[in-house]
Amino acid sequence: MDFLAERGSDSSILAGGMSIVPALKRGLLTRRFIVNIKGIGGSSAPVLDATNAQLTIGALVRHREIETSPVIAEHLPALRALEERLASIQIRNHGTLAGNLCAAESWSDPPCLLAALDASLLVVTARGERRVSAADWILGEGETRRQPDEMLLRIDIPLPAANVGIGHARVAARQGLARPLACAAARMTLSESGRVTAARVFVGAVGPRPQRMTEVEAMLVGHRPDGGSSADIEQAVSRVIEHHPDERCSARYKAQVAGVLVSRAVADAVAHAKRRIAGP
Amino acid sequence: MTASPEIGATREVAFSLNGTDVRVAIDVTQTAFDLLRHDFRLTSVRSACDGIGMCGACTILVDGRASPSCLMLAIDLAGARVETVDALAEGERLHPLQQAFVAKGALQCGYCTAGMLLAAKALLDDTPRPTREQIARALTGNLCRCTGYAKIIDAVETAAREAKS
Repeated sequence: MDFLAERGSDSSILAGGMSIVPALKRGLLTRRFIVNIKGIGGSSAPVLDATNAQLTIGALVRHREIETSPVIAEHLPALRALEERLASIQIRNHGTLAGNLCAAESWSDPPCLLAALDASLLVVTARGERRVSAADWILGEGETRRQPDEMLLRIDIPLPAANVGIGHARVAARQGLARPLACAAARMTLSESGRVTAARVFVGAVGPRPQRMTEVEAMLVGHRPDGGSSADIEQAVSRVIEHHPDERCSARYKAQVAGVLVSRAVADAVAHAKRRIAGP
Repeated sequence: MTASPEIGATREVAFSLNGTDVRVAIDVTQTAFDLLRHDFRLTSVRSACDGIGMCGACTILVDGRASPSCLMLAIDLAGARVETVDALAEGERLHPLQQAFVAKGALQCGYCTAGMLLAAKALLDDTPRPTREQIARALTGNLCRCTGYAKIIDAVETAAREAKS
């Protein structure tokens, strides 16, 4: 951390290397130093922190460890399903989730789901530490709230309560090794009578950062989620969505698809919450 | 956390390469791909996507895991057990996966084959009896522009079945 305090603005942090190495090779890395954090220690797998009712994923935890983690399978099956489809096994064997968040590529699945999960990012410096919400972390393409002397040390994800469900949906050109054209994630909380008491809904890969769909959330809270509302959701999403130029498809297509994905993510989250309320 | 030397500096790394201990001086910014293909002349480690991790032709096994050598720094091989396809056959005797690839016609031009075999080996070491879906998933990171994949999946399935019986 002392090195970053002194030379942070002239350094790139390397964990899995999946973003840094190609940039380095192409001469796109203009900074003079690479700070290799592979030796910082910490758990190499996700950890259940029951005291604080959260799952913690350290800076060096690779995608593959999340995909195969029993605690993730039990508490966050949506994250496991996302990881199973991320990039390729070669990349998942080395790339880290924290590195994915720091690379802040707009066409990426994890930032959107982590925002919906209300993950909290612990960022450290030689001076101390602070927390940033995953929903606020990414500012734009390749740009985050990380200051040059800071390092993302840990991702903390609150354990979903027993009446909460998570949904995630994506569209890509192929099933494998393709970045999403759009993705959506929802975290829905239901009351005993089946009404929505809280909703967090995000769209990813359409704009330069995950976008919160507050209008959709407001439409859902207080109502029974079943039946008839998906057309309204789709319209609301395409009304507010912000676009990032994408040569792979038109903005109009993205807006339309984002609406459908939000509907699906919400429906999946509601179904998941109902299953969890009903119990095993 | 350790501050790495400046870009352009050299270091010595030691690792196991196809069963032999090696020690070599590397540039700290050199990729594992460059080290293996150009310094060690292991031309079975190939590149089709020019180093962006999208083709799988450069796949190697690092401590048994399928790994993208083009996205890894050579320095990160330090202390690891590294295998390329050159380690699969025992002398003249092909590995069961290689035999199955030949028997099933799972290759045409052969450029992707080394990477395919290693990704398949990592799968079978971990999951000895995979489903076709699991095989397809494990090979997602390996592109083939000739075969259409069906025969490759057949071959991996055959190798898994024959290893069992």
